[in-house]
Amino acid sequence: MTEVTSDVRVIIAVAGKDWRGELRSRQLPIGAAFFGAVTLFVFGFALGPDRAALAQAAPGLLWLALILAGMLVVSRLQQLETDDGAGEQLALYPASRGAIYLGKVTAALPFLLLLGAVLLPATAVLYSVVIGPALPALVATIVLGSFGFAAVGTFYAGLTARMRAREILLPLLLLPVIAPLLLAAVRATVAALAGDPFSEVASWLGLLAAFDLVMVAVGAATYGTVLEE
Amino acid sequence: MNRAALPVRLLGIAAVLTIGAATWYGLFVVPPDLNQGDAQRILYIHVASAWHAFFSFGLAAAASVGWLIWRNPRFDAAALAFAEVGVLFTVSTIWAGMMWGKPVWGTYWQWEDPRLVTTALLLALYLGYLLVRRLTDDPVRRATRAAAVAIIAAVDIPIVHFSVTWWRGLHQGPTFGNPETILNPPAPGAFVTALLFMLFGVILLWAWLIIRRYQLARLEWIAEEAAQRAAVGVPA
Amino acid sequence: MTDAGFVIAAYVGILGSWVAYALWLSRRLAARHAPPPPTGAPRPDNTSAAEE
Repeated sequence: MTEVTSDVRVIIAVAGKDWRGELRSRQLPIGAAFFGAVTLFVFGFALGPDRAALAQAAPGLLWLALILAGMLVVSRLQQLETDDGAGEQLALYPASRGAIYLGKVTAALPFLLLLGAVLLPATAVLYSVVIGPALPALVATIVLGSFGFAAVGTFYAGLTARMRAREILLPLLLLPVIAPLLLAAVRATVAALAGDPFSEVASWLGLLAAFDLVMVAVGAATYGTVLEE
Repeated sequence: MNRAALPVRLLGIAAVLTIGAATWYGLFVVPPDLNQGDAQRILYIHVASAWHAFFSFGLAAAASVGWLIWRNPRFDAAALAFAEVGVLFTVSTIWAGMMWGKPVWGTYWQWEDPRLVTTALLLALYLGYLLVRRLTDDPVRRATRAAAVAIIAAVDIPIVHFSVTWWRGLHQGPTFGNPETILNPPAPGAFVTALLFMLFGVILLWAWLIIRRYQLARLEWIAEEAAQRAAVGVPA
Repeated sequence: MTDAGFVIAAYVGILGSWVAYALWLSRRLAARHAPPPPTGAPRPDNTSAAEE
């Protein structure tokens, strides 16, 4: 019991430190949300003014924008550790590696959810999609998708943090791994927006949840070896 | 010792001869398929490549777990050998699949085929693995980072395959299960012989490549360690 | 392209890549086994110290 409590305290401490820093400067939440919105806007130019085509592509574009902006979130949060050598101190800290990893995942989560909260209405406005009736399913998809992204993204941001060419390496490693997340999240969004005619939203959400669990377990088990080196 | 040991050399020679003979058999002896015609000949090398690609990546993940547990550099050398040879066979698999898909399916790329999409993602994951290795200079760090990437890839692949299978199941009727394109060999015996023949040849080649790549990785590791010791002034 | 063309492209491409990789391996191994430079020669930089 005490071990669990101390792990929870480590998670809160690690996440809280990142939240305080980023909320004070506000660079990360504003920058990432703005980048995501601009991405959605530019997709509109790429696809042309055909409203039906845009509405059809909207779920995929929403998730691409979320993932591209989410990449900024996880790499920025990792940058906090590398900039002033804080990561080495964190590694020396006598806490379980898994708890430090979960702390970093927890730190990323609210920023990713904020992205969802900004980009979902932006998608509705820019691509004329009606999200109202599908809102509960969409929120569930964004929560599960953000968690899975945070789990994998935090892991790879930590892995590449001290490598050469990390800006190139992070998306290159991350995108293939989250391919099933993208697929499941987009399918769930498509089905939810269509009113779930074939009751498939729950299946895709189940797949997302399974992805989240597997990735967070592997991340917690191996993040320590990456951190220790 | 400028060349491979005698058994390894014999293995290499046997691989070249067997694959050469299997290619000749598959291209000129087996009669064309009743439905697929000559395109069916691509399947021998395609299937042999695919099996070895998947087998290699499974072993690469196992060797990576071995490195994380025992920290023995031999595991890292083995993981590298399996991963790099696996990438080679994956590229072969995809290339053969595309050359087969165009005449039979009418398209180089079939998004609804779970095996194709999974194989392509596997290639992307292991190219990332090789890139992580290239961009890390310290041998111990490189081994650890690479092992983590290999393990993530190993748990990701079943989810990828499952999700793509599901995607197709929910959204697409049978495109490639078309009876016009299903294999219908006039001489099933010759077809199976050609397949097994090529499979046997590729096993020999695979073993030779793994052994040689492993030896190279060991030599590189030893050289790196020596260079590192020299740099910090510790006598060897 | 005829079916035979695709078959030839598949086999030539794959067998060619296998041969190329095997040759590359052999060359790298041969280079590793080459005699080491005489003592006193400048040793290779330890690049790992530059990482971080």
